[in-house]
Amino acid sequence: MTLPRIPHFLVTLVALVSLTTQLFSQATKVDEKIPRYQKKQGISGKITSIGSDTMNNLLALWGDGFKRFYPNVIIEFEGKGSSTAPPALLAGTAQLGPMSREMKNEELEAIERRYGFKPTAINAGLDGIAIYVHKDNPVKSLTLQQIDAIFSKTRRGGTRTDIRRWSDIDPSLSNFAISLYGRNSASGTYGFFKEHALFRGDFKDNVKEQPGSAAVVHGVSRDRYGIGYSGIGYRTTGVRAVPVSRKEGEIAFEPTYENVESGKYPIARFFFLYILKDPKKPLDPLVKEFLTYILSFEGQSDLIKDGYYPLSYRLVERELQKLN
Amino acid sequence: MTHRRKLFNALSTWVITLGGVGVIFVVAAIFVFIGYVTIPLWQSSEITSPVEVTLQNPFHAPRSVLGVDEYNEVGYAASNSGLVVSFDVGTGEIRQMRFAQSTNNKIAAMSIDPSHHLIGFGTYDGTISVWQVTFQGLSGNVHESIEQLFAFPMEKNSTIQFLLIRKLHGEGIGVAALATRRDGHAVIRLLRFELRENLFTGEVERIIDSTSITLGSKGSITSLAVDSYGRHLVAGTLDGQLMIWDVGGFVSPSITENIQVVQNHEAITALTFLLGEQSLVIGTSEGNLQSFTWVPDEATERGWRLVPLNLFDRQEGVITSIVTSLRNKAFITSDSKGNVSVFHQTSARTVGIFNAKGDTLVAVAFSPRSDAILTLTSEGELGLRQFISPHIEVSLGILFSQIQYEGYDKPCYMWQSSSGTDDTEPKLSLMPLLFGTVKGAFYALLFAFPVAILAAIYTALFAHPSVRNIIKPTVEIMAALPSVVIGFVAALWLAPFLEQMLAEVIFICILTPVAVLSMSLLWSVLPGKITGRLKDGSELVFILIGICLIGYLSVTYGPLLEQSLFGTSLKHWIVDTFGVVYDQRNSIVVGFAMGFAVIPIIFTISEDSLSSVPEHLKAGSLALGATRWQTATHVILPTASPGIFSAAMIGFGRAVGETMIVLMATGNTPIMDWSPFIGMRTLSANIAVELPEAPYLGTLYRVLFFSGLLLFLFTFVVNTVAELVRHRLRHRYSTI
Repeated sequence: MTLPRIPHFLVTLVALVSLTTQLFSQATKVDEKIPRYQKKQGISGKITSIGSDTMNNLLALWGDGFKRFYPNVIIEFEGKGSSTAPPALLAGTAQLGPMSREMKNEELEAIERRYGFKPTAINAGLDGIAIYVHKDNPVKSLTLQQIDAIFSKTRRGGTRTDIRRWSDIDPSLSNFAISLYGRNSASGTYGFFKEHALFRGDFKDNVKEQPGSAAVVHGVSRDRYGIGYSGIGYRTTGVRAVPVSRKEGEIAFEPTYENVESGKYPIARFFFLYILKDPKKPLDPLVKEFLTYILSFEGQSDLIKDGYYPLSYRLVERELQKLN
Repeated sequence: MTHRRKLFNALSTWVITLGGVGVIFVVAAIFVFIGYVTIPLWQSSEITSPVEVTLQNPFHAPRSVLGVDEYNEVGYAASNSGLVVSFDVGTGEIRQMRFAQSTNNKIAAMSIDPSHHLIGFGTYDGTISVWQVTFQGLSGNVHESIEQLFAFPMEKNSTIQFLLIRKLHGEGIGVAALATRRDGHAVIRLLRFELRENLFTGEVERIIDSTSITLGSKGSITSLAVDSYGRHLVAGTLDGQLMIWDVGGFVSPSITENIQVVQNHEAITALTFLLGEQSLVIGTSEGNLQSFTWVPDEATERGWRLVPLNLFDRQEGVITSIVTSLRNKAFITSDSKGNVSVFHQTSARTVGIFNAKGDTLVAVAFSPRSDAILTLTSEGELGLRQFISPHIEVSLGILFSQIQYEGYDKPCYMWQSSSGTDDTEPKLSLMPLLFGTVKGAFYALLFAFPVAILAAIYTALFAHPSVRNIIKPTVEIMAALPSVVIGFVAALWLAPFLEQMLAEVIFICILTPVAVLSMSLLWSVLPGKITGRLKDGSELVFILIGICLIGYLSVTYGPLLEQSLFGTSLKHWIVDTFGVVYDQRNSIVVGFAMGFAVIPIIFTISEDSLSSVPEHLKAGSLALGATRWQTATHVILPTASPGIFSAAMIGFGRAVGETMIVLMATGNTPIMDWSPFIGMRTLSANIAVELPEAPYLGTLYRVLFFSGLLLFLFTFVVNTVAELVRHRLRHRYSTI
């Protein structure tokens, strides 16, 4: 039997076209209504930011972008995890505390005891926590309850049976044990995932805790039976983000911008930038300008560059209000 | 000249002594510092003596509910005369006052939700009303407003016997009311109240959903509790039963279950959910206290069942109220004799106890930050006690013994420090970490010890000096490899490689000694003509060729052999036959990687001790006609055994303290299982992973320091024992 030979260039062309359309359909755009950044006079000095590991690249992008307007400004950032932000704000070693989770009461109170007011949280961007599997893994979609049963031993999501093997999800999948990857226990991503995907339950003991988001994605990309969670910005070609649905029988959504922004994708969160803003005094002009930059068209575009999602115009307006 | 030499001698003595003392001092100082950080963990909780004031008239009430703002500055109370007041905690001065009812409509039941400062009233004619106290402003400048949110006729011609209000998770307020009709029949009414703003018009809609559970006449409910997710409604009865309904978000009550939880038919007089609402505490008419939790259970119709958790110290009187902390798993009970006790659920400890004005005590409040306890008597006497317990979550029992946590049906060792939310129960057992530390070191030594010792014996006793001069520095250079590099290679290359080539690697491991032996045999039978002509050390090359050949054969024909032996891949066979889990980041990977890191130490020390065995012993043995092998095993090895022993112990110590390799090559999974196919979490890796993110001077921070102290003691003990044993052995063999 012979098949008609298809010219090589045609195959390439088709592949290219499908690739570009795919890219275009997924392209995220910043709302044009969000104002562009306007340079101000007399801005100089140094900003130190200490906090989230997930937001590390973002801070670098924002820092670079901001420096294009103010070449003399120095921006230092350190990203070891969200829990490093409150102590740094408390000790005054940082003006900016990026966190991928909200501050705990304990942390808010420590700052309040020291300064007499609570820190202000600025929402800086959107992130979908993607459920990554190996790129060759055929699993189609997962429900939140299944994710809970995969990662949690307390199964507060209400799933009756534990999911230990891929075949427990779908009999057509491998009967191999699911190899679990996750973040270390004090990271914001860990806390967020525990609250929203595990319904505040406990992780299984065999979740391999990786010291960074990139390590999770890398681990999964090298493990055919692996599954892990991390911010959407860490997606690589070796992994696939599985569509997630809220419940059995509902539609599963991929963590795309539309789905995250509209709230259809169930495990999405805000990025927070914590600042110390005395309600009686105006904010330090440098910090204010940096935050204004982050909430500008340019700053929101940086989010897309890093694989995360920008805020809507309405949210940007609301956050800008907090700076005054 | 002599003078100079003397001076130099004295100087160097001083410098060396100073250095030695300095090292000891620094080590001791580190020890003291680490110990100092951990001390607050062991300080017991403290309840200060009360600051007492009397509320001004007219607040005298036989029954009341009590709450306070988060700074413990402004309190609020409601009485069964329908009065809602806010007052200054420091002076007792009434700040604001409201009446919740008209005079002909008496209050029959009250309820409070201190998390959102909600107060509920239920009347004798079946109406309920919900009030909220809203606080604004910072410490020293707090303003409050008291307003009625809504009133609703729950059940006509009946009395609200029990009332329960809860701020629901997300939006809305849930109300559960037990109403008894005039004919004696009882009904539980559930109501969900929500204010929803219309995004287009800006109007605020009131949404009230209401539903009911009919109890019939035999209901003898003495206490009620509901969780803020609207999952479970629980009622305690006069004869010690718990009645549980799945209330489906306050709109669709479904399944009910009755469980006899107290024997001897004591009445359940108080009942409440603890923070996080995964467990509940009951108090009885005999002063008994017990906690329960939900665990998933496939076998039951609902998918869960209630299991007992902890028994707490018995109280003298009837338990009148249980108030939970909004911060952790602590709770306060009060009894009819005015005893107030603070307990901690996880450890089942009594944290503090005091008596507040005997039987006149009517209400107890736990401050929102769980740092103060407020009591109120029927005469309007208010007592404020500071409650100082920064590390209530930790006790020796929590760290080292099996604990039954919320949501688990049996006690276990577990490490899962919490993050994100206050309401998760931190699991801080150090046992999985200690276990992981020993396991990692064990697998590393399992690989490293034989390889290193055999290599040392070969290099010291059999190899030609020229070969030795190559091998020894090479192995020592291995020690110069940064462990982070080894860890990186192990995690990103070795782990996936091993997963794919498990059978081949095992074949190589088994066949290499066979290859070495057979090639050596072959070498010995080779005619002396050939071997004599070759340079010394070529036998090594010969053996290496054999090993390479085995490696090649294993990789080429391994899969075939694997198929014929197991019918499938070895990994699948292991998983299917033994039912174990094969994890990519497992103990074998750690064993290889960490073994690689400790081989140089063990090799160097044991090689040194082997080659420093006095030459006359060796010469004497050989002269008496012993072969080289006999000399090695019967003379040199015993003499050098103290050194070899200490090499092994120091290698063990190194493996125990090794951080980066385990951190990267394992998944840091705190599992207590010896299986080589799964990973572990060691003390050192745990500190490295969690310390940068632990809140400064918080409980986790101090626990991590404590685990560092343990690690320190562990290596200290291992090294001291090694040194002692080495001395004894050396003493014994010094006679040879």
